[in-house]
Amino acid sequence: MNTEHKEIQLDTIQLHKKNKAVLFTVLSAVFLAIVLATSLTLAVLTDLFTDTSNPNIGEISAGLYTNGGSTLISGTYDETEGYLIGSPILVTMPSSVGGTTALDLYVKNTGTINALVRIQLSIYQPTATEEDPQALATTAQLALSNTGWINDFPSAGSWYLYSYYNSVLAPNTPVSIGATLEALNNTLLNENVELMIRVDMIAHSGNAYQLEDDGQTVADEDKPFGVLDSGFLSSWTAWQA
Amino acid sequence: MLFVMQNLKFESYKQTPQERFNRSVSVLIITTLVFLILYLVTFSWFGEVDYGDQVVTVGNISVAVTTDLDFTGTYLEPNKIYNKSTTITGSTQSGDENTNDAYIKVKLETSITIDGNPIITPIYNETNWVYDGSEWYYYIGYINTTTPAVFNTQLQVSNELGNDLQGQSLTLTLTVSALQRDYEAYNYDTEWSSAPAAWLTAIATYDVTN
Repeated sequence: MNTEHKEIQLDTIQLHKKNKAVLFTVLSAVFLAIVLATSLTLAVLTDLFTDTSNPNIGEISAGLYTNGGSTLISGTYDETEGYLIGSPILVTMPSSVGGTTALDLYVKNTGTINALVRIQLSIYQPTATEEDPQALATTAQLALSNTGWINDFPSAGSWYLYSYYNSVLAPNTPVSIGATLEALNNTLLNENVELMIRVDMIAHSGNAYQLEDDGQTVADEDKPFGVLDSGFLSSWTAWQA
Repeated sequence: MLFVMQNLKFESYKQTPQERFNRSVSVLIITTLVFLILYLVTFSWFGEVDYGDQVVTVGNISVAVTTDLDFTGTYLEPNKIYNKSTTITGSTQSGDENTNDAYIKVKLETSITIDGNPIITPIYNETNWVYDGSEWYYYIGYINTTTPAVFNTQLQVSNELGNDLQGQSLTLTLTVSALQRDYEAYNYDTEWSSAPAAWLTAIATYDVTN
Protein backbone atom coordinates (compact mmCIF):
# COMPACT_ATOMS: atom_id res chain seq x y z
CA MET A 1 0.00 0.00 0.00
CA ASN A 2 2.77 2.42 0.93
CA THR A 3 4.55 1.52 -2.29
CA GLU A 4 1.47 2.26 -4.30
CA HIS A 5 1.05 5.57 -2.50
CA LYS A 6 4.64 6.48 -3.22
CA GLU A 7 4.23 5.54 -6.86
CA ILE A 8 1.13 7.68 -7.09
CA GLN A 9 3.00 10.58 -5.50
CA LEU A 10 5.88 10.16 -7.97
CA ASP A 11 3.47 10.09 -10.89
CA THR A 12 1.81 13.24 -9.61
CA ILE A 13 5.15 15.07 -9.30
CA GLN A 14 6.17 14.06 -12.80
CA LEU A 15 2.81 15.16 -14.07
CA HIS A 16 3.21 18.55 -12.44
CA LYS A 17 6.64 19.01 -14.00
CA LYS A 18 5.31 18.07 -17.38
CA ASN A 19 2.41 20.45 -17.00
CA LYS A 20 4.74 23.27 -16.03
CA ALA A 21 6.82 22.70 -19.14
CA VAL A 22 3.75 22.72 -21.33
CA LEU A 23 2.41 25.84 -19.65
CA PHE A 24 5.70 27.65 -20.12
CA THR A 25 5.78 26.76 -23.80
CA VAL A 26 2.22 27.90 -24.35
CA LEU A 27 2.70 31.19 -22.52
CA SER A 28 5.88 31.89 -24.52
CA ALA A 29 4.03 31.25 -27.75
CA VAL A 30 1.19 33.53 -26.68
CA PHE A 31 3.64 36.28 -25.77
CA LEU A 32 5.41 36.02 -29.11
CA ALA A 33 2.11 36.04 -30.96
CA ILE A 34 1.04 39.23 -29.19
CA VAL A 35 4.37 40.91 -29.92
CA LEU A 36 4.17 39.86 -33.56
CA ALA A 37 0.60 41.05 -33.91
CA THR A 38 1.47 44.36 -32.35
CA SER A 39 4.42 44.94 -34.68
CA LEU A 40 2.45 43.91 -37.74
CA THR A 41 -0.35 46.31 -36.98
CA LEU A 42 2.17 49.22 -36.98
CA ALA A 43 2.70 48.89 -40.75
CA VAL A 44 3.13 52.11 -42.68
CA LEU A 45 2.90 53.00 -46.35
CA THR A 46 6.22 52.76 -48.16
CA ASP A 47 7.63 52.39 -51.62
CA LEU A 48 11.07 51.59 -53.00
CA PHE A 49 12.49 52.40 -56.43
CA THR A 50 15.86 51.41 -57.91
CA ASP A 51 17.61 52.01 -61.20
CA THR A 52 21.07 50.94 -62.35
CA SER A 53 23.55 51.51 -65.12
CA ASN A 54 27.06 50.28 -65.90
CA PRO A 55 29.43 53.08 -66.89
CA ASN A 56 33.06 52.42 -67.72
CA ILE A 57 36.01 54.26 -66.26
CA GLY A 58 38.18 55.80 -68.92
CA GLU A 59 41.81 54.96 -69.44
CA ILE A 60 44.94 56.66 -70.65
CA SER A 61 47.40 55.01 -72.95
CA ALA A 62 50.00 56.42 -75.34
CA GLY A 63 52.16 55.34 -78.20
CA LEU A 64 54.67 56.79 -80.67
CA TYR A 65 53.90 56.18 -84.32
CA THR A 66 55.32 56.68 -87.77
CA ASN A 67 53.78 56.49 -91.25
CA GLY A 68 51.41 59.30 -90.57
CA GLY A 69 50.42 57.82 -87.23
CA SER A 70 49.52 54.35 -88.43
CA THR A 71 52.59 52.30 -87.48
CA LEU A 72 53.56 51.88 -83.87
CA ILE A 73 57.22 52.34 -83.09
CA SER A 74 58.47 49.59 -80.87
CA GLY A 75 58.57 50.56 -77.22
CA THR A 76 57.06 49.95 -73.81
CA TYR A 77 54.22 51.70 -72.04
CA ASP A 78 54.03 52.09 -68.32
CA GLU A 79 51.26 53.90 -66.46
CA THR A 80 53.79 55.87 -64.43
CA GLU A 81 56.73 55.99 -66.85
CA GLY A 82 54.84 56.68 -70.03
CA TYR A 83 55.71 55.30 -73.45
CA LEU A 84 59.43 54.85 -74.06
CA ILE A 85 60.73 53.76 -77.43
CA GLY A 86 62.98 50.74 -77.39
CA SER A 87 65.85 52.12 -79.42
CA PRO A 88 66.90 55.53 -80.75
CA ILE A 89 65.35 56.82 -83.94
CA LEU A 90 67.97 57.79 -86.52
CA VAL A 91 67.32 60.93 -88.58
CA THR A 92 69.68 62.02 -91.34
CA MET A 93 70.39 65.73 -91.27
CA PRO A 94 70.10 67.77 -94.47
CA SER A 95 73.07 68.33 -96.76
CA SER A 96 73.17 72.08 -96.54
CA VAL A 97 72.87 74.75 -93.93
CA GLY A 98 69.29 75.93 -93.77
CA GLY A 99 68.08 72.70 -95.24
CA THR A 100 65.44 70.60 -93.49
CA THR A 101 64.67 66.95 -92.97
CA ALA A 102 61.05 65.93 -92.60
CA LEU A 103 60.07 64.02 -89.51
CA ASP A 104 57.48 61.29 -89.57
CA LEU A 105 56.83 60.89 -85.86
CA TYR A 106 53.43 61.05 -84.20
CA VAL A 107 52.10 60.77 -80.72
CA LYS A 108 48.75 59.08 -80.40
CA ASN A 109 46.31 58.81 -77.50
CA THR A 110 45.38 55.13 -77.52
CA GLY A 111 43.17 55.45 -74.46
CA THR A 112 39.48 56.27 -74.20
CA ILE A 113 39.40 59.76 -72.69
CA ASN A 114 40.92 63.12 -73.55
CA ALA A 115 44.50 63.60 -72.49
CA LEU A 116 47.25 66.14 -71.98
CA VAL A 117 50.53 65.17 -73.62
CA ARG A 118 54.17 65.81 -72.88
CA ILE A 119 57.18 64.30 -74.57
CA GLN A 120 60.71 64.08 -73.29
CA LEU A 121 63.00 64.51 -76.27
CA SER A 122 66.76 64.02 -76.46
CA ILE A 123 68.73 64.55 -79.68
CA TYR A 124 72.23 63.08 -79.69
CA GLN A 125 75.12 63.73 -82.00
CA PRO A 126 76.27 60.67 -83.91
CA THR A 127 79.95 61.06 -83.04
CA ALA A 128 80.94 59.90 -79.64
CA THR A 129 84.09 60.79 -77.79
CA GLU A 130 85.71 59.23 -74.82
CA GLU A 131 84.82 62.27 -72.81
CA ASP A 132 81.27 62.51 -74.05
CA PRO A 133 80.02 59.27 -75.55
CA GLN A 134 76.50 60.51 -75.91
CA ALA A 135 76.84 64.18 -76.56
CA LEU A 136 73.64 66.05 -76.99
CA ALA A 137 73.19 68.12 -80.05
CA THR A 138 73.04 71.83 -79.36
CA THR A 139 70.50 74.42 -80.28
CA ALA A 140 73.22 76.10 -82.32
CA GLN A 141 73.46 73.06 -84.55
CA LEU A 142 69.86 72.31 -85.36
CA ALA A 143 66.30 73.46 -84.84
CA LEU A 144 63.10 71.51 -84.45
CA SER A 145 59.94 72.83 -86.04
CA ASN A 146 57.15 71.75 -83.74
CA THR A 147 54.28 74.15 -84.07
CA GLY A 148 51.61 73.53 -81.50
CA TRP A 149 54.03 72.46 -78.80
CA ILE A 150 55.54 74.51 -75.98
CA ASN A 151 59.17 73.66 -75.28
CA ASP A 152 60.81 73.69 -71.89
CA PHE A 153 64.60 73.35 -71.92
CA PRO A 154 65.99 72.30 -68.53
CA SER A 155 69.48 73.06 -69.74
CA ALA A 156 69.62 75.94 -72.15
CA GLY A 157 71.46 75.21 -75.35
CA SER A 158 71.21 71.42 -75.26
CA TRP A 159 68.67 69.35 -77.10
CA TYR A 160 67.18 67.79 -74.03
CA LEU A 161 63.76 69.16 -73.38
CA TYR A 162 60.17 68.61 -72.35
CA SER A 163 57.71 69.53 -75.01
CA TYR A 164 54.04 70.03 -74.12
CA TYR A 165 51.30 69.69 -76.69
CA ASN A 166 49.22 72.84 -76.43
CA SER A 167 45.83 71.24 -77.07
CA VAL A 168 43.77 68.44 -75.59
CA LEU A 169 44.47 65.19 -77.39
CA ALA A 170 41.36 63.18 -78.05
CA PRO A 171 41.44 59.38 -78.23
CA ASN A 172 42.83 57.79 -81.37
CA THR A 173 44.03 61.12 -82.77
CA PRO A 174 47.71 61.26 -83.87
CA VAL A 175 49.66 64.52 -83.61
CA SER A 176 53.08 65.20 -85.11
CA ILE A 177 55.88 65.89 -82.62
CA GLY A 178 57.55 68.16 -85.19
CA ALA A 179 57.57 68.72 -88.88
CA THR A 180 61.30 69.11 -89.62
CA LEU A 181 64.86 69.21 -88.32
CA GLU A 182 66.80 72.17 -89.74
CA ALA A 183 70.58 72.35 -89.98
CA LEU A 184 71.75 75.65 -88.50
CA ASN A 185 75.47 75.13 -89.18
CA ASN A 186 77.63 72.67 -91.05
CA THR A 187 78.63 70.45 -88.15
CA LEU A 188 75.91 67.86 -88.66
CA LEU A 189 75.34 67.99 -92.39
CA ASN A 190 74.45 64.56 -93.72
CA GLU A 191 74.99 63.08 -90.32
CA ASN A 192 72.62 60.77 -88.48
CA VAL A 193 71.35 62.19 -85.23
CA GLU A 194 69.66 59.96 -82.69
CA LEU A 195 66.33 60.81 -81.18
CA MET A 196 65.21 59.28 -77.88
CA ILE A 197 61.61 59.98 -77.05
CA ARG A 198 59.39 59.28 -74.10
CA VAL A 199 55.69 60.11 -74.20
CA ASP A 200 53.85 61.10 -71.01
CA MET A 201 50.10 61.33 -71.01
CA ILE A 202 47.56 62.16 -68.30
CA ALA A 203 43.84 62.70 -68.19
CA HIS A 204 42.82 66.18 -69.23
CA SER A 205 39.90 66.24 -66.77
CA GLY A 206 41.03 66.46 -63.17
CA ASN A 207 43.44 69.37 -63.47
CA ALA A 208 46.78 67.96 -64.50
CA TYR A 209 48.44 71.33 -64.60
CA GLN A 210 50.68 72.12 -61.70
CA LEU A 211 51.66 75.39 -60.23
CA GLU A 212 54.99 76.19 -58.74
CA ASP A 213 55.69 74.82 -55.30
CA ASP A 214 52.65 75.73 -53.20
CA GLY A 215 54.06 74.66 -49.93
CA GLN A 216 52.22 71.37 -49.81
CA THR A 217 53.93 68.36 -48.37
CA VAL A 218 53.72 66.35 -51.60
CA ALA A 219 56.86 66.97 -53.58
CA ASP A 220 56.20 68.84 -56.79
CA GLU A 221 58.45 66.54 -58.75
CA ASP A 222 56.04 63.74 -57.91
CA LYS A 223 53.19 65.46 -59.64
CA PRO A 224 52.36 64.08 -63.09
CA PHE A 225 54.03 66.82 -65.13
CA GLY A 226 56.40 68.05 -62.44
CA VAL A 227 56.83 71.68 -61.50
CA LEU A 228 55.21 74.14 -63.87
CA ASP A 229 55.45 77.74 -62.84
CA SER A 230 52.81 80.31 -63.54
CA GLY A 231 54.85 81.82 -66.34
CA PHE A 232 54.98 78.54 -68.20
CA LEU A 233 51.29 77.93 -67.60
CA SER A 234 50.48 81.19 -69.35
CA SER A 235 52.13 79.76 -72.48
CA TRP A 236 50.98 76.18 -72.20
CA THR A 237 47.22 76.51 -71.86
CA ALA A 238 45.89 73.09 -72.87
CA TRP A 239 44.92 72.46 -69.25
CA GLN A 240 42.43 75.30 -69.48
CA ALA A 241 40.41 73.71 -72.28
CA MET B 1 -18.56 -5.19 -7.97
CA LEU B 2 -20.72 -2.44 -6.58
CA PHE B 3 -17.60 -0.77 -5.23
CA VAL B 4 -15.98 -0.96 -8.62
CA MET B 5 -19.12 0.34 -10.31
CA GLN B 6 -19.23 3.21 -7.89
CA ASN B 7 -15.60 4.02 -8.57
CA LEU B 8 -16.14 3.97 -12.30
CA LYS B 9 -19.15 6.21 -11.95
CA PHE B 10 -17.14 8.64 -9.88
CA GLU B 11 -14.30 8.72 -12.43
CA SER B 12 -16.63 9.36 -15.36
CA TYR B 13 -17.50 12.93 -14.31
CA LYS B 14 -14.43 13.76 -12.25
CA GLN B 15 -11.68 15.23 -14.39
CA THR B 16 -8.13 14.28 -13.79
CA PRO B 17 -5.60 17.00 -13.08
CA GLN B 18 -4.13 16.54 -16.54
CA GLU B 19 -7.49 16.98 -18.14
CA ARG B 20 -8.13 20.12 -16.16
CA PHE B 21 -4.76 21.45 -17.21
CA ASN B 22 -5.35 20.69 -20.85
CA ARG B 23 -8.71 22.44 -20.72
CA SER B 24 -7.10 25.51 -19.17
CA VAL B 25 -4.46 25.68 -21.89
CA SER B 26 -7.07 25.32 -24.59
CA VAL B 27 -9.11 28.16 -23.15
CA LEU B 28 -6.02 30.35 -22.95
CA ILE B 29 -5.12 29.71 -26.59
CA ILE B 30 -8.64 30.36 -27.82
CA THR B 31 -8.89 33.56 -25.81
CA THR B 32 -5.59 34.80 -27.21
CA LEU B 33 -6.64 34.08 -30.76
CA VAL B 34 -9.91 35.94 -30.31
CA PHE B 35 -8.02 38.89 -28.88
CA LEU B 36 -5.59 38.97 -31.80
CA ILE B 37 -8.36 38.83 -34.37
CA LEU B 38 -10.16 41.74 -32.76
CA TYR B 39 -6.91 43.71 -32.45
CA LEU B 40 -5.93 43.25 -36.07
CA VAL B 41 -9.32 44.22 -37.34
CA THR B 42 -9.77 47.30 -35.23
CA PHE B 43 -6.29 48.80 -35.34
CA SER B 44 -4.67 50.11 -38.50
CA TRP B 45 -1.97 52.73 -38.78
CA PHE B 46 -1.92 53.24 -42.45
CA GLY B 47 -4.10 54.55 -45.09
CA GLU B 48 -6.32 57.32 -45.93
CA VAL B 49 -9.63 55.97 -44.81
CA ASP B 50 -12.66 57.03 -46.74
CA TYR B 51 -15.95 56.10 -45.25
CA GLY B 52 -18.05 57.17 -48.17
CA ASP B 53 -20.67 54.63 -49.09
CA GLN B 54 -19.49 52.32 -46.39
CA VAL B 55 -16.30 51.66 -48.41
CA VAL B 56 -12.91 51.79 -46.74
CA THR B 57 -10.08 52.75 -49.10
CA VAL B 58 -6.53 52.13 -48.03
CA GLY B 59 -3.96 54.69 -49.31
CA ASN B 60 -0.97 54.00 -51.53
CA ILE B 61 2.55 55.33 -51.73
CA SER B 62 4.09 54.95 -55.17
CA VAL B 63 6.89 57.07 -56.56
CA ALA B 64 7.64 57.93 -60.16
CA VAL B 65 11.32 58.64 -60.71
CA THR B 66 12.77 60.28 -63.78
CA THR B 67 16.51 59.82 -63.75
CA ASP B 68 19.36 59.79 -66.24
CA LEU B 69 22.05 57.24 -65.38
CA ASP B 70 22.95 56.51 -68.97
CA PHE B 71 26.65 56.70 -69.79
CA THR B 72 26.49 54.80 -73.04
CA GLY B 73 29.34 55.84 -75.28
CA THR B 74 30.95 57.83 -72.49
CA TYR B 75 33.93 56.93 -70.39
CA LEU B 76 34.16 58.34 -66.90
CA GLU B 77 36.83 61.00 -66.53
CA PRO B 78 38.30 62.09 -63.21
CA ASN B 79 36.64 65.10 -61.60
CA LYS B 80 34.33 65.51 -64.55
CA ILE B 81 30.78 66.75 -64.09
CA TYR B 82 27.96 65.29 -66.17
CA ASN B 83 24.62 66.98 -66.64
CA LYS B 84 22.33 64.27 -65.37
CA SER B 85 19.36 64.86 -63.11
CA THR B 86 16.82 62.98 -61.01
CA THR B 87 13.25 64.10 -60.31
CA ILE B 88 10.89 62.28 -57.95
CA THR B 89 7.14 62.64 -57.80
CA GLY B 90 4.07 60.63 -56.89
CA SER B 91 2.98 58.12 -59.45
CA THR B 92 -0.11 58.77 -61.56
CA GLN B 93 0.03 55.41 -63.24
CA SER B 94 -3.39 53.86 -63.49
CA GLY B 95 -3.80 51.13 -60.91
CA ASP B 96 -0.84 52.35 -58.89
CA GLU B 97 -1.67 55.95 -58.22
CA ASN B 98 0.04 57.62 -55.34
CA THR B 99 -2.61 58.87 -52.93
CA ASN B 100 -0.62 60.09 -49.95
CA ASP B 101 2.05 62.64 -49.34
CA ALA B 102 5.39 60.97 -48.83
CA TYR B 103 8.76 61.70 -47.34
CA ILE B 104 11.66 60.46 -49.45
CA LYS B 105 15.30 59.62 -49.15
CA VAL B 106 17.74 58.75 -51.92
CA LYS B 107 21.06 57.01 -52.17
CA LEU B 108 23.55 56.71 -55.02
CA GLU B 109 25.94 53.79 -54.94
CA THR B 110 28.80 52.56 -57.07
CA SER B 111 30.10 49.02 -57.01
CA ILE B 112 33.65 50.38 -56.93
CA THR B 113 34.53 52.78 -54.15
CA ILE B 114 37.58 54.77 -53.14
CA ASP B 115 38.26 54.78 -49.42
CA GLY B 116 34.67 53.67 -48.93
CA ASN B 117 33.25 56.56 -50.96
CA PRO B 118 31.34 56.10 -54.23
CA ILE B 119 33.16 57.06 -57.39
CA ILE B 120 30.17 59.05 -58.60
CA THR B 121 28.45 61.53 -56.30
CA PRO B 122 25.41 63.75 -56.79
CA ILE B 123 25.48 67.49 -57.09
CA TYR B 124 22.34 68.67 -55.34
CA ASN B 125 20.75 71.60 -53.55
CA GLU B 126 22.02 71.33 -50.00
CA THR B 127 19.19 73.53 -48.79
CA ASN B 128 16.64 70.86 -49.63
CA TRP B 129 18.54 67.72 -48.78
CA VAL B 130 20.31 66.42 -45.68
CA TYR B 131 23.09 63.87 -46.14
CA ASP B 132 23.44 61.37 -43.33
CA GLY B 133 27.18 61.11 -43.88
CA SER B 134 27.22 57.55 -45.13
CA GLU B 135 24.69 56.75 -47.84
CA TRP B 136 21.24 58.41 -47.70
CA TYR B 137 20.12 61.88 -48.69
CA TYR B 138 16.92 62.94 -46.92
CA TYR B 139 14.54 65.39 -48.57
CA ILE B 140 13.28 68.29 -46.49
CA GLY B 141 9.72 68.33 -47.63
CA TYR B 142 7.33 65.85 -49.17
CA ILE B 143 6.23 64.73 -52.55
CA ASN B 144 2.92 63.77 -54.11
CA THR B 145 1.50 63.63 -57.60
CA THR B 146 1.65 67.40 -58.01
CA THR B 147 4.64 68.21 -55.82
CA PRO B 148 7.94 66.84 -57.17
CA ALA B 149 11.40 66.86 -55.66
CA VAL B 150 14.62 67.31 -57.61
CA PHE B 151 17.52 65.31 -56.24
CA ASN B 152 20.69 65.64 -58.32
CA THR B 153 21.06 68.18 -61.09
CA GLN B 154 24.48 66.80 -62.05
CA LEU B 155 26.74 63.86 -61.29
CA GLN B 156 30.44 64.23 -60.55
CA VAL B 157 33.21 61.67 -60.84
CA SER B 158 35.82 61.42 -58.14
CA ASN B 159 39.18 63.03 -58.79
CA GLU B 160 40.87 60.18 -56.96
CA LEU B 161 40.72 57.68 -59.81
CA GLY B 162 43.97 55.83 -59.80
CA ASN B 163 45.69 53.97 -62.59
CA ASP B 164 44.46 50.71 -61.10
CA LEU B 165 40.87 51.67 -61.93
CA GLN B 166 41.44 52.51 -65.57
CA GLY B 167 39.14 50.72 -67.96
CA GLN B 168 37.03 49.09 -65.28
CA SER B 169 33.25 48.82 -65.48
CA LEU B 170 31.18 49.64 -62.44
CA THR B 171 27.53 49.46 -61.46
CA LEU B 172 25.79 52.70 -60.58
CA THR B 173 22.60 52.29 -58.52
CA LEU B 174 20.05 54.92 -57.59
CA THR B 175 17.59 53.99 -54.83
CA VAL B 176 14.60 56.05 -53.73
CA SER B 177 12.78 55.15 -50.53
CA ALA B 178 9.41 56.73 -49.77
CA LEU B 179 7.44 56.76 -46.53
CA GLN B 180 4.03 58.14 -45.71
CA ARG B 181 4.09 61.66 -44.40
CA ASP B 182 1.27 61.05 -41.89
CA TYR B 183 1.65 60.30 -38.22
CA GLU B 184 5.45 60.70 -38.07
CA ALA B 185 5.76 57.24 -39.54
CA TYR B 186 9.55 57.63 -39.62
CA ASN B 187 9.47 56.98 -35.88
CA TYR B 188 8.02 53.51 -36.47
CA ASP B 189 9.67 52.27 -39.63
CA THR B 190 13.05 50.70 -38.89
CA GLU B 191 14.37 51.74 -42.30
CA TRP B 192 14.13 55.36 -41.18
CA SER B 193 15.41 54.91 -37.66
CA SER B 194 18.83 56.34 -38.53
CA ALA B 195 17.53 59.57 -40.06
CA PRO B 196 19.89 62.40 -39.16
CA ALA B 197 18.87 64.78 -36.40
CA ALA B 198 19.10 67.75 -38.74
CA TRP B 199 16.48 66.22 -40.99
CA LEU B 200 14.21 65.27 -38.10
CA THR B 201 14.28 68.85 -36.92
CA ALA B 202 13.61 70.27 -40.35
CA ILE B 203 10.88 67.81 -41.29
CA ALA B 204 8.85 68.50 -38.17
CA THR B 205 7.42 71.51 -39.98
CA TYR B 206 5.84 69.18 -42.51
CA ASP B 207 4.52 66.51 -40.16
CA VAL B 208 0.82 65.69 -40.11
CA THR B 209 -0.40 64.05 -36.94
CA ASN B 210 -4.19 64.34 -37.13
